[in-house]
Amino acid sequence: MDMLWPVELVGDGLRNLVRHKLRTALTMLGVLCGVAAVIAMLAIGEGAQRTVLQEISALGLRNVILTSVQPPDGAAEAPSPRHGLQMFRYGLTEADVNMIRGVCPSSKLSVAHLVKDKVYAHGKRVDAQVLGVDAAYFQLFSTRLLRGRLLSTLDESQRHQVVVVSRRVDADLRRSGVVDDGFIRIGWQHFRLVGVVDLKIPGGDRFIFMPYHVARSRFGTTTVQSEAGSIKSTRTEVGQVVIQVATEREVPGTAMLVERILETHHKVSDVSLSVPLDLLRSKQHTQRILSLVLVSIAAISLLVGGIGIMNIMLAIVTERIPEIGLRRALGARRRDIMIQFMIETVTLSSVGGILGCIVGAAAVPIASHWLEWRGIVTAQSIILALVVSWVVGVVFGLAPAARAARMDPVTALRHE
Amino acid sequence: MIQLEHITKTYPVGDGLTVLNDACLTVDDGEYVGILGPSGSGKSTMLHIMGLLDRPTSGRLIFNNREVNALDDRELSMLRGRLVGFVFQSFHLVPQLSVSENVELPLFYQGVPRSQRRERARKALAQVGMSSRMRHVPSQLSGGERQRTAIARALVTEPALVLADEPTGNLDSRTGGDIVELLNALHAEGRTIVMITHDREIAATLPRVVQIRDGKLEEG
Ligand SMILES: Nc1ncnc2c1ncn2[C@@H]1O[C@H](COP(=O)(O)OP(=O)(O)OP(=O)(O)O)[C@@H](O)[C@H]1O
Ligand SMILES: [Mg+2]
Repeated sequence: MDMLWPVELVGDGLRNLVRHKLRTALTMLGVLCGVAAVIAMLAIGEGAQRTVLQEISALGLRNVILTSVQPPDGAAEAPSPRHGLQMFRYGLTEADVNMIRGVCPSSKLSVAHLVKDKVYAHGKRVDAQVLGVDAAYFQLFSTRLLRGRLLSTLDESQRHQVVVVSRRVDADLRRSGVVDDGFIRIGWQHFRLVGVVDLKIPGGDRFIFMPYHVARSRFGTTTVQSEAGSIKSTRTEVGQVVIQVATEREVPGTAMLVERILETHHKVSDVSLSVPLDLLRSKQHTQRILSLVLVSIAAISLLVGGIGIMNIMLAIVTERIPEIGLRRALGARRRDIMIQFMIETVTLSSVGGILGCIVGAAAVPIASHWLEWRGIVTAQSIILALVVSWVVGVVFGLAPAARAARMDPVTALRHE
Repeated sequence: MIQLEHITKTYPVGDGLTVLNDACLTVDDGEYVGILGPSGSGKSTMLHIMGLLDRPTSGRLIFNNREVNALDDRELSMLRGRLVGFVFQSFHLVPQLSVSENVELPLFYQGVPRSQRRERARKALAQVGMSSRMRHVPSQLSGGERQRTAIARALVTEPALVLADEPTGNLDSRTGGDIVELLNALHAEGRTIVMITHDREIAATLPRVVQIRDGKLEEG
């Protein structure tokens, strides 16, 4: 008895919209642009999110990485004048490593030796950080082998003088004429290039890796360098410690313990602590805020589209005043009139929304290709955009529909 | 069928324009009443009140043995949709709907399923001789055809009461004659009809005529 047939009303609504094609098209354009903008902004946000995730998870989300760094000048431990040369000590010590091993016994630990000697390729300086690492080191990071091979346990036991380099260093070496299986000089030692890798570890992207024991035995912990006329020697016992815990949940606790150890035993900041998981969290947070801002801007255009719809619906209601009066005379309740115009508005905005989704989803891959940013259209963003366009119809249809429903039937019938 | 008891209608213009003043009228079931009166005398106003579209400023209206003053919009709409069929001077067809859909409209608001609506509209249109124009839209019809469509729409719900507001006013006398024939036929079926007319010739053929003068109703 009280039933209306919404499907029929949607049909009527569509027919009315088709009758005024240009007007409908222009009105829809507002919602279409708004929805397409929302889709595009969500796609940019999603793309950026994934890029961040990919970049940082390459550092190993279960890793806590400690790296010895040279403290700012003058802040180093008081030099002990011995035989006239100055000795600076900085960075991680064997004692630190033992303590860390003590507080997280179930974690995998990998120790890297820092080689401070300069690197030369055919006599030309190469800018790179040299680390002595064990064979397991590469497994702690998502390492991609680009060419050649990784360091092996055999290299370790046989004390092979071989190196594996990162991609950036490889490019420099090639420019200097060093090819695969060619030689480079580190300090006064010669090393054969056996592999090129792509991996992310804190501290940049120029790395040379050699077997751990080769580094320890050939270079030791003390380096003597002559700089600007004065001779300076520095001592760093341990270059880098990578702690890999069993699950991501253990990361914050481990990081806190390690930080406490460092705080008590290092007066100056000569160790940098890197927690990829924290980094990811904070970057994702920034990303999310950025996405929110982008989407809010897009939402403004949707708002403008909604106002356009409301404007047109008010005009349509005015145009159809006699029809409203007539429908009331034929037994339509206020509610029926309200529903009729609501459905018409929602139909208008939904069709605009659907077209907007199509345009947005089609534009994102094209724009990604030309502008070289990464945009990803997700199913959720499509659903969200459709729901929003629907809500726009409801919100902005309310006033015109209420106006139609409130109209006095006799006044409406007498309307010229 | 309807009893108007001391009905007053005042429009809030200027100091208040009183169109109906203490008007009384009883229309029995199955009666055929013509309403005469000069332009602006309040005929349409009275018809709207009788058809539950408008509310009187004061006075009582008994409709089908029910006191309707206290009813709300929902109940009035329902009574109106089921018991009253309106025919207007200016047809009032919905321009974007076909003839058949226009006739189906009152059934739509009663919740009649589509197939039944189709069938009943088809019958009503056959009754007014419009079977061949079902798919047309109003702008493709002549004046007489529009009014016949409007009559089909008024009778498709099989209303107890048909209210016609100058149904022949916009038509030539021959076409107007056809429309009056149709109303006569409806009366013969037993429906109560109230018709406003300016045409004294038509009025002369009606069994009962009421005149509006100074907001009051007088027989004869
Ligand atoms: N909404 C309104 N506000 C103010 N005055 C109104 C309103 N509706 C009608 N009137 C006035 O009420 C009077 C009666 O109007 P009504 O339409 O009932 O006359 P009528 O007898 O049907 O005339 P006609 O034969 O020309 O159709 C007119 O003078 C008109 O100006
Ligand atoms: Mg009138």
